[in-house]
Amino acid sequence: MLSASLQRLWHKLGSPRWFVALTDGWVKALGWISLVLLIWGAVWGLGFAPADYQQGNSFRIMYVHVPAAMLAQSLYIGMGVAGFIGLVWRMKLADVALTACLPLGMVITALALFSGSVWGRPTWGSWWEWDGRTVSTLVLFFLYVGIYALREAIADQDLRARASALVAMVGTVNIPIIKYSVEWWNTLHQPASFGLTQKPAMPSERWLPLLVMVLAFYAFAGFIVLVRMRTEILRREMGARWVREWLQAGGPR
Amino acid sequence: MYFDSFADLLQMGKHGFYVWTAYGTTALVLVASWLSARGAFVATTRRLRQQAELAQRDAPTTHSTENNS
Repeated sequence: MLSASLQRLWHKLGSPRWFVALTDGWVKALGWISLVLLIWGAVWGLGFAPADYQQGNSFRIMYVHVPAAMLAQSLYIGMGVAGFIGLVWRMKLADVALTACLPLGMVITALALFSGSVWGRPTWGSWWEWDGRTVSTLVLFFLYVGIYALREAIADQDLRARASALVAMVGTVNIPIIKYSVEWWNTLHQPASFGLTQKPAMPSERWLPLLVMVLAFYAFAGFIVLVRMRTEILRREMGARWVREWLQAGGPR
Repeated sequence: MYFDSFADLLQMGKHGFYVWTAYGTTALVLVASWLSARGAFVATTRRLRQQAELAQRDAPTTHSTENNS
């Protein structure tokens, strides 16, 4: 009995039509939330947080660099999980989610590398260091580019889904490498000054804006991934009757 | 505000160039991501609407029988 209803729920979760109806109201809300948080966090981080006594004002780059780097990894984990679900349960939505994470993940990883480079110049005295964390993040960027190229190269939808799911899953081994790179290798990169489990290694006037920016980046990612998923679903289900009905009922809001 | 003047905020000691480059690029990346996602969505729904209109114009009778049944 229970398993039957669970199965029904699982089936529903994988249904594109149900997903589009469910998320109709979320897009705008997430968009506005992320905009407000981004402006709030940026103004706070740029103009109000006190400068670091060692790094001076360059530390303000942290407020865009750290959220970008966190998001770069989270989106990749999202693709790995979607790949796993797609391969094991053949859920239609899984490949949709994977494609939706891909473009944002790619540019955000590039942004993490770039902002790190711009931070490294005044702090380490060089634009680029062959350092454990920068190199493993560069590998992350190449993984994104690789999956993107793979998807462009394979015309068959089913094969493309399976191939990119496999690469996304295998590539997740890079995530713990990025995380522990600052401990495994002798490195210039500072360790995390921010975490879920320990107290931040800086005063609250400095980490509160970071918290706002991290939330802002995740809300923004939710917004973009949602818009892209809905677009991809509509594109794939173009001929379906429910799409016509959804459009007639008002369509996108 | 932490800075004494607007000029101070722009200059940020010696780090103005680096900080503003990082924030400017971030703004650019986020806006471009939004425009690209939004553009794809608008293009797709426009195509859907055109398709629906065409279907209705080509077969108005099927539509009414669908309603009757």
